[in-house]
Amino acid sequence: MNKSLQVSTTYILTHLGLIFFLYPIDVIDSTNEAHWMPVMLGFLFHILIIAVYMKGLSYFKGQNIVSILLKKSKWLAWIVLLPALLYLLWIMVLAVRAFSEVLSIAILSNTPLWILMMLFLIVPGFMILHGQIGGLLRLSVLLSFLFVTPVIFVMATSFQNIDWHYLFPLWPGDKPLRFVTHFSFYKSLFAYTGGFLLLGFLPSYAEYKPKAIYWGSLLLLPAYLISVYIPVLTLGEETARQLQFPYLFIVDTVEINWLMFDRINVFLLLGLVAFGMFFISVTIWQIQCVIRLGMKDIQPNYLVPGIIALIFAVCLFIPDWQTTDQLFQKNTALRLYVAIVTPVFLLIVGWLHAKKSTYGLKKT
Amino acid sequence: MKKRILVCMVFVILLGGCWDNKDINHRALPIAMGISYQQGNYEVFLDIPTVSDKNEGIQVISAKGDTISAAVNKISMNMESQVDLLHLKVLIVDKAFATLGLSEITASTIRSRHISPKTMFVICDEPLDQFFKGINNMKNGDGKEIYDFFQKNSGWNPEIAHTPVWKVFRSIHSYTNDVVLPIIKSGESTAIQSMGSGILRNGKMVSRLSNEQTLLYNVFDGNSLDGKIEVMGKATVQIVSSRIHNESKFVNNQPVLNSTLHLKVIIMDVIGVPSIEVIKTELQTLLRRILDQIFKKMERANADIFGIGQHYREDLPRTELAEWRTKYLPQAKINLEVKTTIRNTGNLKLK
Repeated sequence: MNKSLQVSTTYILTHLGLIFFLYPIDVIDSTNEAHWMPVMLGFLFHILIIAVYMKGLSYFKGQNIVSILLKKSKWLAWIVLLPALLYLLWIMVLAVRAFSEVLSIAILSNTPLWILMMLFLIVPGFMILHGQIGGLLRLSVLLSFLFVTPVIFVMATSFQNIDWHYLFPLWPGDKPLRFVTHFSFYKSLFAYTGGFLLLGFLPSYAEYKPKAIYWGSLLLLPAYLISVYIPVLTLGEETARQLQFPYLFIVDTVEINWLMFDRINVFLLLGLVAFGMFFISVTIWQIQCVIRLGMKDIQPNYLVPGIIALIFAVCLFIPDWQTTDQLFQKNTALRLYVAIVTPVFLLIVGWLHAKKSTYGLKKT
Repeated sequence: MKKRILVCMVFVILLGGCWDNKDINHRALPIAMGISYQQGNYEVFLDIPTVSDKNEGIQVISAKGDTISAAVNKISMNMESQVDLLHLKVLIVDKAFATLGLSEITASTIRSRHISPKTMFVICDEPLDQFFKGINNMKNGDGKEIYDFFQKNSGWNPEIAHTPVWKVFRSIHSYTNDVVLPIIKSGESTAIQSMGSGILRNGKMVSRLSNEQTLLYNVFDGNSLDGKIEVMGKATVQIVSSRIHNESKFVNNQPVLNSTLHLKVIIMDVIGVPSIEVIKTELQTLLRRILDQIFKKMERANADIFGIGQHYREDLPRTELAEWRTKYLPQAKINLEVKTTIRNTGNLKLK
């Protein structure tokens, strides 16, 4: 059965949750002008890795990445899977910690952090235990019905105070590609690499057309551009780089007389919290897949609470935002390794596999 | 059974969020905050509407502290309810503080997130204690005038500058954008009296505009409708729509801005029997004169309140743009042309 819609909504939602918080300031930090360049370069990188990844996967119809790799060579497989597992655990810690900190800064300043972190773990854990991946895929359609409209509403209204003059200069004066040498650019890539691994973990019944994923990522492109450009166009680059979460700040400055809500930030945050939880549950699913198929087949009823408890414990050891940020920076190298090596490795394995089977066919 | 336990768990988790909730009747929600600064000490005034069946108006409380939040905390400590700045609508500073510089308090309002960045920034022309005593005179109304005065859907007029905190924050860091803040004082027959506006450069008040100039500032900045202009001794007209067209270029390393202001007006009052043409030309000379006054003030103060530098973002590299206010703005040449259309003359014909 074709599940293109579900897979592509899952794909969109996991990314949407990541874009609006940390991504804008990383891009703004990486360059002084012409911010579309880092955004577009990141996006091209994103398209490239999912293209390679999906090509690699297409050699093995209906199998997931763990079984594909383990069937080939156990030792070689762990070169890819171990970093991926570590990366997934790491990104989950960061996601839980960062989301709860953002929520604490933005609205719930009196609520203790551990409650928020627990909420960000228990709800996704429940989603996974109850529905497994099939439930998540269906949930993605429901979530997009519920939350995409308010998020788009907020995105549209955030254009209220922009000044188009800040768009210029479109082409930076000297050394247009200087941002490539800036560390923040590589940090910003997390918004592109967060959810793509999932495509390799889908079960065999979730068939999809690669075209659906490409369309999905094309729909994400405006979100990437808006999240960076709205702060720059409203405040100017010099002012925007002073802020911790530029996009959230801009949403706070929007004035709508006819709306009974004073701060429309609530709509955005509600949507993003839902997407964030969805992202975390998808990540738990991937971790669970690697552990159950690659190491030991533990019952999900024990495994998922185990993962949650582990993540929660690690999160409790992160004292402040600075440490979170440092962990985030340290994660960059591993992220790039996973984002580049996994698809390329899979493509090579797939290519060899295809060659071998055509060779085998010829022989018979 | 399992499901029931789960449902209970969900309730426990969700309702847990309310444990330190403070009900609305235990919160004090100020609508205006006054801040003055003297010798390293902030004095904070809070304007809190009292909620009771008689609607007794407003309560003004003040405290001193090293920082604003320390002063607010002191008020909160001495009050029976908790001060919550979430619904603050107006931030008032006195003139001395504005000339000294507002960058620090702007930064701290933005940082804390307790105060909305949409809060109006206002300068007061008299000492704050006097001002708050004046506006809360019960003869003048119910005490919420300061709130309504700056609301676009109630008391705001095009003669009053309209600048939220985030714009002041932008002006402090931006190379090419400055702001004007409204200046008010307590009035005699009305609670509040508008005294024009102050030009802020990098968060410091450097010059002033009169009410009339502020109206034209608003028109030229593109955010005013239905302002009324008196054409000296001839007529009063009302602006119904305005459009600005700008052309920027560099001539001999000197920024030149050719600006055309298209204004559509309707006639409200006529003195004597002037012809339409006379009113039109008079209006154009008048507008040009006032705007030229503003431009002169702006150049003298090195403050780019119209964001003229914005038009030169493509011509100047960033390092040069950083010096826009000091190096380029003083030599900027603004050629203004005003084109007016008198759309109608009201119910009466004009000979």
